[in-house]
Amino acid sequence: MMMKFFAIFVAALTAENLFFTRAFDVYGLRELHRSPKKMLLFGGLTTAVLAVAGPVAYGINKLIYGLPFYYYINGITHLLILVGLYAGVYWLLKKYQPKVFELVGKYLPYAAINCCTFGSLLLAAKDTELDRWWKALAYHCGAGIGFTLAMLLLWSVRQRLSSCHASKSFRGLPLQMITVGLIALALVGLTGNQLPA
Amino acid sequence: MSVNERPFPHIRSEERSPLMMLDTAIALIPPFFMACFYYGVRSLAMGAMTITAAICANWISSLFNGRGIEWWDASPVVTGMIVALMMPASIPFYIPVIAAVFGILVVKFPFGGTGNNLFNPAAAGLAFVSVCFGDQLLSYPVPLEPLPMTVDEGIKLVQGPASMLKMGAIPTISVEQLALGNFAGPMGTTNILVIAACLVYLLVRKNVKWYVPAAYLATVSCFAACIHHENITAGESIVLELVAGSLMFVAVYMLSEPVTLPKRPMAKVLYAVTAGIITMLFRYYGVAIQSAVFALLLTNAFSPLFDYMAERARVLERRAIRENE
Amino acid sequence: MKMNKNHWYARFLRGTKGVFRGNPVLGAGLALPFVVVAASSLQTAVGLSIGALLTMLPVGLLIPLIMQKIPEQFRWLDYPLRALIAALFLMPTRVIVGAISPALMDSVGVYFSLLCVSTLLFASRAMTVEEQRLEKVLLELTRLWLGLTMVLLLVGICREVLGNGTLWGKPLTWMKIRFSAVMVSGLGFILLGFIAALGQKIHRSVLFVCLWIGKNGRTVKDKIVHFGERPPKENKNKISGEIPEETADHEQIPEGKEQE
Repeated sequence: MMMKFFAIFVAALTAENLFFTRAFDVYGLRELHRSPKKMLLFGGLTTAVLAVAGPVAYGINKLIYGLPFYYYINGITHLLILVGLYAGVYWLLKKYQPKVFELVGKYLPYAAINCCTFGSLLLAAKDTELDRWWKALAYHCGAGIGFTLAMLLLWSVRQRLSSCHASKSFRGLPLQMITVGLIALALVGLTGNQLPA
Repeated sequence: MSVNERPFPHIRSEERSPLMMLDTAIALIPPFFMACFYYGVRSLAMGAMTITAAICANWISSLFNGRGIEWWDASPVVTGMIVALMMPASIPFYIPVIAAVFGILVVKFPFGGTGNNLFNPAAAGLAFVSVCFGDQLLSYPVPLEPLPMTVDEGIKLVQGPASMLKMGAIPTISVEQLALGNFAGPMGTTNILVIAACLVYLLVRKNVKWYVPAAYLATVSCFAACIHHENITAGESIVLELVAGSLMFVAVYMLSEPVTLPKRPMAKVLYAVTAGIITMLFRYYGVAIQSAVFALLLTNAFSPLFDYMAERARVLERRAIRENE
Repeated sequence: MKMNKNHWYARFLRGTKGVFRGNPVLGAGLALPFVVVAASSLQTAVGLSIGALLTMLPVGLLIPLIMQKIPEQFRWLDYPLRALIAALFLMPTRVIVGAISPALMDSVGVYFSLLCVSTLLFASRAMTVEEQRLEKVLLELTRLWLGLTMVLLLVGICREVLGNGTLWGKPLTWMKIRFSAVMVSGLGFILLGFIAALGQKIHRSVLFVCLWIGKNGRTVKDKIVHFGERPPKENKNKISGEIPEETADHEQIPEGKEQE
């Protein structure tokens, strides 16, 4: 069981990386780019949300899977899980832990409800190999940590990119996109040429 | 007052010297001779076309970068030679040309030309072409059968030892075949002894630090010794893993590319070890593809991180020494 | 130097903010999943852009209305409410876009559902409580949508032509080589980077042309007017530069004031 957990965790982290392979992004990344601590906090929040919402989504998915209109209510059900989790955490933190709320409150909405968390829940619902709750947990933890590591990798490359003698048309977003693209191309060596959707 | 216009970091060796690129180009000529011996003049024609395409792409990129055409830049020659030598000798000519042009126009041009690229252009071009035309890149002609200029379907194509290892089979290569490079594989990567001799040349000319390929090959050997087929010994496994695919070629020519390699010695060792780990992980868990090239491309992204870590370690070490005094 | 062409260009950019200058994808890097991975052909690009419109419009119109009614302590629900409204409207959108082509929904997969948490929904300043006027909200949303559509269509066409050698499913005879690597997310990022660089290059070139046109006009020196003088009338004869006789008599500076 541990080997399987580890295998799914590593696969979700590297081969099916949320940022490089699937290109899920998050709002509010621009202000995080300068600070690795904020990025770690943000990534930690995303992973925590996924770790809690993942098994819950697994359970609810099992209940609604057989329904005829599953295809249509799939999205809103998983979104309601995330919204419920966000609302609960927001209210609890504000009431009982105001200091933690000050630290975390700014990033909480963006970390809880974004392409990464929502997309990861949907992909896990679709994946037939994740038939146990702990497999889903491994997948979501790997996905969240993979996303955080991807952000940190981009941060580490940022200074080198800004010191290149690139022409003015390529400075800023174009160079970042090309770097991310080349890293994603390198990861194809693990996954092969498959569309992840 | 003279201003240092070199890009950060400023602690670096004379990596933009044309002599360094010329040395690497000279070290790439012997594999071309061996390719011509095994596969005929077609290999030389492929090399010439790829080098010309790389040089033209470099001229175009330097023109659009606003610094005028850099006529005497030798780095695209090295890129073209590496790309050509990593291809099977029977591949259509347009494939290595596309690889070289992609490498220069996507990896060198946006970043600002020679000396500024973050990734290895040859590795990126090979990765692109491996994803586009993967099957054609993994089928090799039989050596010592000269190929005609236009290759049709009558040519016999076989799998290389890397694909066989991936599928769990044990390739049967005798010691003489190993020593002479007389087995199916990419054009310039099967001649291990020739590549080793070229490594000695590059070490003597101080283009390559000895610990970089040593760390890489040591990491790969450790993995090969620990994880291998039941019917072969650890030693045989090490030899097979080093010989299969383009691992030795990448270790000698592509790993120590001066622009993408980190600058501090500790960072270089870390870089080589990481490249070795990622190569073997790709070989065991990845798809059938040139793993060493993809692993190198991924490790290039970690190069600034290793430099940063080595720099921080040095700062902390100095601080500790000062506090102890 | 005449700056009127620059002013014209600046006015054009302000009027099309969100399409060219503040393009959400090329300028701010929003809505990446759709452009980089999901837009693998022209059909999917059209489907995604319709989906984006039908999710953005309701969110943009309803959120300011709802937020005005809600008491201030619940204003933090703004963010999840946008996603929920978009998810509600995603259900009929799925039917509409599926009618274009059934294969479209299969190839897009999970990415269609991601439209309800797209970063584009959270990027528009018009969709806030303070913005009262409906037409301003609609205008900004339309511009953002046009910007996204432009990039989606461009990327979709490039990827379909280079990767499959087809356009809207119809094969192109002149495209002999298939670069199937273009369908991988890595090449999607690289293509987006190049399109963004092309956009910046076009912007800089237009600025350069405007400045070059302006250089051939009068210089700033001609426009300096001394105290008490009336500015000279437009002189079409640039070589002679004579002051017309009408103004000469009226512009005598009083002698006392010259010394000041």
